[in-house]
Amino acid sequence: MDNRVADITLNKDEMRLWGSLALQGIDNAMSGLATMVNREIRMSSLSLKQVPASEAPDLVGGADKMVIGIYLAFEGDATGHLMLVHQPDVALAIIDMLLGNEPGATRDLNEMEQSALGEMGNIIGSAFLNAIADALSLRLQPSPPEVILDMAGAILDVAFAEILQQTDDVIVAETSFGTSDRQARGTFLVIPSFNFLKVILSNAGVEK
Amino acid sequence: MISGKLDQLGPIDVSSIARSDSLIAVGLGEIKVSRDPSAVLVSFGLGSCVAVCAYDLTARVGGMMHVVLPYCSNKDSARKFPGKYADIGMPTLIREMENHGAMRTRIQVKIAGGASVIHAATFDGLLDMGQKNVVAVRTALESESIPIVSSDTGGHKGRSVWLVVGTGGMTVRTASGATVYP
Repeated sequence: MDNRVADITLNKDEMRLWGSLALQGIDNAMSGLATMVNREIRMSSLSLKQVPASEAPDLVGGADKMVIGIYLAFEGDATGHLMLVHQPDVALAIIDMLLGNEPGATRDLNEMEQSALGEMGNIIGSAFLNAIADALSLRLQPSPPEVILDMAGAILDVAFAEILQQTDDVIVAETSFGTSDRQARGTFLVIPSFNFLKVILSNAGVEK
Repeated sequence: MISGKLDQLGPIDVSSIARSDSLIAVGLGEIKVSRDPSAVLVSFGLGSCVAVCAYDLTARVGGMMHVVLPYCSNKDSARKFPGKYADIGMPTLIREMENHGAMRTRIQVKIAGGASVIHAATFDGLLDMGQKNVVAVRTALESESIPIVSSDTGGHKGRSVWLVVGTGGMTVRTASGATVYP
């Protein structure tokens, strides 16, 4: 029982492994997006962190700030889930790209914007998960992604409810990306479930 | 759920509360107690989490607990975050309030939170975490014989919750509006 809290703490090698997988996942997600908008999309940064769960909402502006979450569950060789969270500003910028609007043209999330967002969530979420499944030769069947617009804390609770049964920290990947002429600035968090991390590490040959 | 009420009440301005000089934020798994009547305790962005707002109007003591999970599965974690689990957090909240001069028999409680933000039926155990938290909070209060005066729970929307220590008033805000429980 006592060592469970330390269980999720990743050492340098494990963090590097998760980083390289997250990178492949995000890369694949970006190619999916690029195909959708028919433009090149580049990732400008990726950073990996282990943070106390209570501080995670601050990475996307604070617990009561409206953010967009993409939630994917999966089953197959393993079950688990993955949460991608980003700020509305990022989403609005991406929607501008998706719909071919001038930068800054999209200011609200009406039906068309929400549907574009859902489509984007679908692509990013499943491409990310598939890349990791392929890299590890795992059969992971993702659920249809669920796209949620709500307060950051409320959305993160979905991921936390599982992770915090085991630990008080969460592992996040933070990234920003864009096309050659504009960047979707802001934070894009990837939060793997405790089970997911365990599966990844054991299938990559790191015993946990 | 609360949407009907919102229509009647119209938009409520929470800025006066939100800008209070003595705003005390209650994070994940924390318990905060104050005997300053002008203090406002707040939990931001609750999804499946539940805010337990307890107050003793005579002693003018208020406390808030930010419950994350229903039952204790990790004692180490509970030492660091005494409000994380509903079952063992409740006695701690009450003891803290008593330490600040509250009397158990005068303590009243309002609760808010316990939403299920995800609709998809993909994960049995996790999806009803909000509901499980609400049940665990109610059970814990029942065994302490402390009444729940108002509750604003369930649904699919995240909430921010404020408690004014001096009045016991609870304000709940979602993305679509706010409700006051005086």
